[in-house]
Amino acid sequence: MSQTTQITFLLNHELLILDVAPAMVALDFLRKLRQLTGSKEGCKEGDCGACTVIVGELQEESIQYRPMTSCLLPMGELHGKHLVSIEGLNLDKLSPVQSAMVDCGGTQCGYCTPGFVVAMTAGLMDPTISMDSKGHDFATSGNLCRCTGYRSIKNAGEQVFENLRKKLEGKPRIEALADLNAIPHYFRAAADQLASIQSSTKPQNISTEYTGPIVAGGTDLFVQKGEELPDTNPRLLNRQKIEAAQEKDGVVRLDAGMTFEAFARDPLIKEAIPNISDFNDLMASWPVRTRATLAGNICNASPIADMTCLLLALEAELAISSRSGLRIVPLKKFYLRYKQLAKEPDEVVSEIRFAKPTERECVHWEKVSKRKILDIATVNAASKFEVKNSFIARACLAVGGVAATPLFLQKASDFLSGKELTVETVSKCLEIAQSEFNPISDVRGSASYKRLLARQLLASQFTGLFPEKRDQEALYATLR
Amino acid sequence: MRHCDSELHVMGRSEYVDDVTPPAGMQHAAVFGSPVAHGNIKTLDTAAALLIEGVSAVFTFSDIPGEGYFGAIVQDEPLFADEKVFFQGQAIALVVANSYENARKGVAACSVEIEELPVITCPREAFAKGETHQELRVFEKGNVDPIWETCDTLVEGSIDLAGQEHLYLETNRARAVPCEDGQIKVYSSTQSPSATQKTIARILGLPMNKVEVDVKRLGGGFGGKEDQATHWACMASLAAYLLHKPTQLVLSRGDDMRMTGKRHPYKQDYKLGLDTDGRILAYEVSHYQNSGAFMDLSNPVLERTCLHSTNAYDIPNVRIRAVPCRTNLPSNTAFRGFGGPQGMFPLEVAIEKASQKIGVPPYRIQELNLARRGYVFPYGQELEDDRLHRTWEEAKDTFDLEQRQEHIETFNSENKIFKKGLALMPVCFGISFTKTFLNQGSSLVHIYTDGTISVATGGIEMGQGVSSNMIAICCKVLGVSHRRIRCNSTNTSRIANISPSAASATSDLNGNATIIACQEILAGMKRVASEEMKCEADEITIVDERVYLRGDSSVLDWDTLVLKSYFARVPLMAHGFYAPPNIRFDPVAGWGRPFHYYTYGTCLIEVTVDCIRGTYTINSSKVVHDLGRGIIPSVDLGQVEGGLAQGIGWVTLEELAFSDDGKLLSNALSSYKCPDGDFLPDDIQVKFLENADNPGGPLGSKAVGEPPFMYGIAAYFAIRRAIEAFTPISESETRCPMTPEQTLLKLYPQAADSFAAFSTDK
Repeated sequence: MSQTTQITFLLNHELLILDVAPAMVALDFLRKLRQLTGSKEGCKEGDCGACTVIVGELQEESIQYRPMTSCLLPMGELHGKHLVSIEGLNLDKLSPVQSAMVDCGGTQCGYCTPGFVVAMTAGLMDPTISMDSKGHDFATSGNLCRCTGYRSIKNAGEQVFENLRKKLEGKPRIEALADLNAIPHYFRAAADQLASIQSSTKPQNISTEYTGPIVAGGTDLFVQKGEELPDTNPRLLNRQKIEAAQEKDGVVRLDAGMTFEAFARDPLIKEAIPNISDFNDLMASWPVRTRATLAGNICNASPIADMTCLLLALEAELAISSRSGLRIVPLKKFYLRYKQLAKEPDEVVSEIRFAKPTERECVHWEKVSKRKILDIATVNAASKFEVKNSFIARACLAVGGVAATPLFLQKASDFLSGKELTVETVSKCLEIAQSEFNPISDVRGSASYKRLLARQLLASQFTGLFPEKRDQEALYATLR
Repeated sequence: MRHCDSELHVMGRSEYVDDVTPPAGMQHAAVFGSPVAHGNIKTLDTAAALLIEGVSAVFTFSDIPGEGYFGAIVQDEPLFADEKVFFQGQAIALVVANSYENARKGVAACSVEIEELPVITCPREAFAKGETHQELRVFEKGNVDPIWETCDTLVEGSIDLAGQEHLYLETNRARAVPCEDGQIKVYSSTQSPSATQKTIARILGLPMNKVEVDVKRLGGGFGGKEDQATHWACMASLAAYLLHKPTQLVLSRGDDMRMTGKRHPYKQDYKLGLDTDGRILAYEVSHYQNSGAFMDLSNPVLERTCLHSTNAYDIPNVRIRAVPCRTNLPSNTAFRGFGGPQGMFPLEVAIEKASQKIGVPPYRIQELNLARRGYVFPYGQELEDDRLHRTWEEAKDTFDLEQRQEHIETFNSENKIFKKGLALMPVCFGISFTKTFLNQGSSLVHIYTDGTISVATGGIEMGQGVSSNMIAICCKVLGVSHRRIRCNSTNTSRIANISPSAASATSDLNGNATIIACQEILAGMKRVASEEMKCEADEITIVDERVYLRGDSSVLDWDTLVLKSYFARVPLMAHGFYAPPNIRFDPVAGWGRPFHYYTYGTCLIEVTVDCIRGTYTINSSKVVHDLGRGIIPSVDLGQVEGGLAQGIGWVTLEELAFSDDGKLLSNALSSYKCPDGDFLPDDIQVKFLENADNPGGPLGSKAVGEPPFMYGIAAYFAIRRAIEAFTPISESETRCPMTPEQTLLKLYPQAADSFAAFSTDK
């Protein structure tokens, strides 16, 4: 059996001090130990959103609330945090989100409904999310419904977001939502409660005799090993506070535990990669991105890792630390074979660095999956180009889903360096690229489809370099 | 009025089977399934499972006290494998433990040695090898053979039509509680409480009156829990019965996906002949149904496939060949549309191909051949009204079909990277179980002395709103507010011999029964009121909870009348029973009047294909639907939008993938993708036909559950139209769904071929 850890945290309105198995997931804790059955198990792999909860973490003096799929959330991380389930959002009367869902007919069998209500409410609690249909779509990007066809749910979401926009404008969000009875009043006191937990208690009995893997966000490990992990004592990295991105001498340095969502919202990253938020929307879903970490994506070594593909094109390097010190490994040298890393078991990726793209460099990333949102890529591709006077000064191309590892296209990238930017150059580059990988057929697509799709996505990397529609069409005509 | 559960749902307070606080000492069960798709069991080792902490028992076929085999049509399916296994995931043993986690560990400790036998996953191969559940049957109208040579246009081809995972968000589950005197009470997530009751009784060797099945609600069913919720309820009951302990079985998503059947995949051949004007003269289709390992509901599903093979079209000469083929896959089963979509699909493919030959848009051929009043379907039933045409005409006008077509043509001529397409889909769907005896509904209405009302019917609430409809019907018939009325769980002790909640007929059958029950009570209450007011009973009405005499309000209100009726010893409860008249069907001859009526509609879908990436966007789906007179507008609209969404999913993203050795590859939500909010269009318009009361439905309503599913088929053809605007489609076999993979391969046929050669070379 696993050892337990004593944690102190807020569960809805209640302050709890209890012993938990650190890798028990919050969904099981809520349903089985607390009989809070409003959170539903639909898939236990973060793909349906029926178990979505909100987790609040103290930042300075206020709490930042984010949605998470409770099926992938280990209890061991929750010390000093605020865990909010659907039960913790209920008031004497229905909240505006709940009323809108009822009024718009947004619920049929009801099994997915609590997840939608929680996700929409999380959207309202995040002041950076736009208060319109786009914001609602963002907030519910991780929720599936099999009954309604979504139109009625979207109607509900749009109604709430637009109705509350004016009422929330310019006000501290949590206070304002409590004033509007959109969340219960106990939220007002939560920040002080968390501050007092953090100043007075520490999680007790954290054993460093790890009997499980290193877990960062756990969004893949809990999917793969969800049944075994609760019996182990894994090394939970997410207990620590994550710093914002730093820049020094033109190099961006990232805490390895930074989540996808934090990465996409970081001011420095937005400056370095202007389209990052478009890319971000296509990676997993909001409640998964609040968990999934950069280093987790890298170390999980999935051949179709979305973020890794982008980081490869950015020529990222990894700082890897262990008891014996720190070493730097280029990301493109990090993968040996399928799921084999150039890393010892006790080594941990602690930092990710890449040169901040200059104004002359453009960075692009795309993926194609069956479904656009919350799906695993069939193929993804990324690029960084530096073009001077219609010559390619430097090129970095990466592709995923076509080899045993995420792939930096060394030959295709080298080929481009110094070449004049013409349709012929691109055609030749695409041909070279095909010689660098050998996809396999699997549930995501046949080998020939992946080759074809890789060609298309690599070609589309050049779209931005040909501003004229005519030239773009000439480029695409070569593909037929 | 709205969906009666919606307030509970939004607060997370509605209870599903395993949300109810467990009884003391409840055990948890988990299923050990076959790792191979076909073979003889040599040895089964469950000893290691019993060594796992908390594991109390392991049950196999030999532990079944009653009959080991069951089935709705034929009793060919064992609860646990009986010496042989026939599909991957087939239950071999049940492990029972003190927790879900320990039961799962027990399953992991089980092992089996199986002598593997050849695996068949393709229905054509099964048919060729004589592996069928029933013989091939042929239904004919007219004679196609002499017609072919008179046709100006002939098209023929073959089709690979995939199945579909139900993906109810609540997986299969049941909780069984042993009671006194060998009785057992079962809480099950089933669409068929009586079939579940009957099968549990059969398995345990008990009389049916010792088994009570109770169903509060389902977290989605869609047909997947019509026949295949039974297994899990039987297993939980078996453990509860043998161990004398409450036992719960909840399938993990992975187990549910690999152990239960899906929408039937079909392989099909079609041949269509038309005259110079595009009028259809003859149609021949062969349906090789991939039925899976056991019969389950394959026979009636295939029957509906045949009945709907000509969908909404007037075709003088028809030959339909159909055979349910035995394969080593989980037994495929009911799924919204129940074979109807598979029946309609090949004709639309044929019409598309014919339209290309003739050089007109497919909708011209669809329109020309749309059946009119007086048309007699190949199975003998006459089309008795013009509403099918009304939906088509209204869809064309309301949604500006000609303008949209022009807009698309202009767009396509101006754009090289993005192409648009549109398609229409008319639907004519017969309402009734084709097994005529199932067309019966029951309702039990209680009025208590405080004036509140409880209604319980045979209808299962699975999100479709049948409970709300029953409440709405009580409101209207009794003249009271919905706040007085609760809809009770569906329970075999309240209602006997319940037909499954299926065939779109639940609200019809149970709603009409509810009207009968309400009217019976009301007649007694009116008698009491008439004595009080010294008038005739038929001069009394009840409106808004007040008694009216010849249209004038009286001093008597609902509460008072209820009490007076009670003291006058007038019954305040009644059981209503309803069986629709004038339906009959001879399944052997394939002839009769199987349907009470038809539900009609026409859908227009527009899409845009990204011709670089092979991805597509569904821009809009617009529907004119014949709903009769709706009972609760938001509930009906939800059924149309939801059915449409599932239909679109079936023909686009949802790809069931099995390996050649019968393993389900798309075995999780990470690899099986159903539509999400982003994928489905924001522009969904649903217009209900006006002045369209339906005399056969309760309060003039029409069945709405299944017909909208088939609107989604338009998405498939809209994508193909868009692809055709980029490059001609050439294919040896028409495959559905049109995934982004299929789309890209069709957009770049030459590159696809050369890359296919590249991959083989390596």
